[in-house]
Amino acid sequence: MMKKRSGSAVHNFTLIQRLLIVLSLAAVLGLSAVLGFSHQILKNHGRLELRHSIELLTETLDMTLSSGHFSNLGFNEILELLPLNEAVLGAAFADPRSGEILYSPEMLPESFFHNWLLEEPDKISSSDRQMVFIDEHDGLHGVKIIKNGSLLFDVLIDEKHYLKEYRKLSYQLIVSVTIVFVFFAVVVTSMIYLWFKNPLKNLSDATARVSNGDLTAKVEIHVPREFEQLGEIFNRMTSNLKNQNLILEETVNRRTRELKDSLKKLSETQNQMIQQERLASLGQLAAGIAHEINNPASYLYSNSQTLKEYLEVYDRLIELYRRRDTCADSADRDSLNREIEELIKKEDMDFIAEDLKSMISDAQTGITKITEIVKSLRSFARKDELTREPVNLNNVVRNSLKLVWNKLKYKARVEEQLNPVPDISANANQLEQVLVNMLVNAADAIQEDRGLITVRTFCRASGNICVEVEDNGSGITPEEQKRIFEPFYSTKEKNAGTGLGLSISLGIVQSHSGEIELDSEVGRGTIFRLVFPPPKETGEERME
Amino acid sequence: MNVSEPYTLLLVDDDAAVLASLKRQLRKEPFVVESAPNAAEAIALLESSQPMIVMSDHKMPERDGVSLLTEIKNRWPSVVRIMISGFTDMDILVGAINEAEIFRFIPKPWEKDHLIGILMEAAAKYGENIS
Repeated sequence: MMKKRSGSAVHNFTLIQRLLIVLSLAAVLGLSAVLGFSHQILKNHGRLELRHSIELLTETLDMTLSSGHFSNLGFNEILELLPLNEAVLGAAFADPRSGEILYSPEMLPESFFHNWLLEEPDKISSSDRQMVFIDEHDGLHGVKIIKNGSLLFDVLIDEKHYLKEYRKLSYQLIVSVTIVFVFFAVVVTSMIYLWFKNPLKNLSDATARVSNGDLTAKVEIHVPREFEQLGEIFNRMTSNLKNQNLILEETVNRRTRELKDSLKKLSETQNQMIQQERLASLGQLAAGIAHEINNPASYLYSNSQTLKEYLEVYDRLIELYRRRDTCADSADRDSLNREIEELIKKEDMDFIAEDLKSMISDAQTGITKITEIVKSLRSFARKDELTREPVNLNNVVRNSLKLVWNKLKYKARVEEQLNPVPDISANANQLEQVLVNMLVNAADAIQEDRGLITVRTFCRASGNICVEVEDNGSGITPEEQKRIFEPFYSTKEKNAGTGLGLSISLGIVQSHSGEIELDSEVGRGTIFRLVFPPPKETGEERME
Repeated sequence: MNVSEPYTLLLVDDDAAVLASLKRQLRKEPFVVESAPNAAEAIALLESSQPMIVMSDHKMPERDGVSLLTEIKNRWPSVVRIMISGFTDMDILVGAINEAEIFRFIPKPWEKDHLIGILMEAAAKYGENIS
C-alpha cells in the first residue's frame, strides 16, 4: 500500500519563514499575555481608586449633609464638590430650602434613581437621622443618603466613564509594546537569518559537491561555534571518506590483480591439462605404434636371420655345383654329386624354396603394414595445418564412393539418399578419408555377399548437417562400442586394419567442430553418423 | 630329472607371420613345435596333451597372454611359461610375473641364439618341475 505525502508544499517553509512564524506567534502570545495582564492590573487599580473615591465622597456627603452646611449650597455647587463629577452619571438632591428633589442631568427620570437600589446594598452606614447606602452593580456605583425616610441625596457613578483614562493609558501601552515587539522580532529574525545563512549555504554547497563525488570539498565556517564544529565534523567526514575511498580503491585494485593472477594461473593450468591430455593420447598412440610396428619388425628381423642361414646353404650348394662342373675326374664328380644330394636332403631344399616365398610374402605384408601406420600417422599429425574451404557433403560422399567402389561392389549394394545440404567450411580430402574409412568398415562388417550399405545426407531441425553410413552387417557389441574410437583398437583380423581408422576419423571430425554418433545392434547392423554444426552466416552458402 | 629331446613347445600368437618366423628358426632345433592363433585354441590343445613349454604373445584379440598363462599356471603348473611380446608396458610385466609367474620374458624383436638359449633353459626347468 502506498502512502502519499500530502501538503508537503504547504509545510515546506524556509527556515526564515519558520523563524518569522514562530517569532510572530511568540510575539502575539507574549503581547496578549502582557497586555491582558497590565490591562487587568490597571482596571483593578482604577476600580479600587473609584471605590475609594466613592467612599470618600460618601463620607464627605454624609458629614456635610448631617452638619447642615449643605443647605447653603445650590445643586450644581454640590455637584462640583463631588470629586468624580466627570464620571457622575446622574445625581438627585433634595433642596434643603424647598425640599424639592432636583435631578441632574435632568433627563434622567426619578425612577432611575429609585430603581437602581437593590434590596441588599453592599454597604450601609446609619446614624440616627441619616442612612447611607452604597452599592455596585454592572459597573454602576451608587450612593444613596436617606434622612428620616426621605431621600436626601442620591448619586450614580459610571465606572466605565471613570476608567476611561485608564483605558486610554492601556491602549497607549499596547501600541508602544507592539511596536517594540515587532521591531524586536524583525531584528532577531534578521540576526538569526544572517547567522545561519552563510554557514548553511556553505554546508549545503559542500554537501552537494560531496554527493557529486568531489571528496575534496571543504567548508570554512568560523561563527557561530556550533556551525564551526559542524563544519569541522563535515571536513573530517569528507577526509575520512576520501581515505576510505583510497583504501577501497586499493582493495579493489588488489583484488582485481589477484583475480587476474588466478585467471592466468587457471588458464595456464588448463593449457597444461590440455597438453597433458595430448601427451597422454600421444603416449597411448606411441605404445600402440611401438607394438604395431614391433610385431612385423620382429618377424622381419627373425626372418632376416633365417634368410642368412638359407643363403649360407645356397652358397654351399652353389659352391658344390661349381666344383662339380669344373671337375675333370669322374670319380670326384660322383662324389660331389652325392655330396650335393646329401646337402639337398639334409637342408630340405624344397622346403627352403617354398619357405623363401612365404618369407617374401610375410616381408611384404609386414612392410605394407608399417607403411600404412606411418602414412595414417602422418595425416593424423598434419590435420591442423590443412586449409578449409566451402565443401558440400554430397560431393564428399560421391568422391568417397568412387574411391572405394572396387572394394564395395563385391560385398554390398550401395544406396544413396542425398538431400540438399548447405556447404560447410572443411577440408574435403580429410572428410573423404573419414567417409572412405566408414564405407570400408561397413563393407567389412558385412559377412554375406549381398549386403546393403545406405549413405544419407540431411539437415536436422537444429540446423546440424549430417552424413550417415548404414550397413546391415554384424553390428557392434556395447563393450566394443566403448572402445571403438581408441587408437589401435581393432575387431578386424590381423593385418586387416591398422586400428587407427576410427580414432583418426574422430580426430578429423572433431577438428571440424563435429561429432560422430554411433547406433548399432548386434545382428541388425550399424549406423555411423557424422554431425556438423550449421555453417556461420557468411552469405556464401550454397545449397546442393 | 632330465627330460629327453625333442622338447615339446606350444607357440601362441595372433600374427601368423610371427608364428611362421619362430617355427622357421626352430626347424633344426630339438623342438617339436605346435602353434595356436589365440588363447582358446591353445587351451584346447593343452587339454588333449600338455607340452613342456608354452611361449605366448600378450596382445591378442579376445583374451590376452597374461590371462592365458595364468590359467595354464593354475591348471598345469609344471608347464614352463614364457612370454614374448613387443608390448613392454609395466602393468603387463607385473601381471606376467606376479599372476602368471612366467619363467622368462622375451622382448620382440628377438635374437635367435637368445631365444634358443632360453628355450633350452626352459626345458631344463621343466625337468626340475616334474621331478
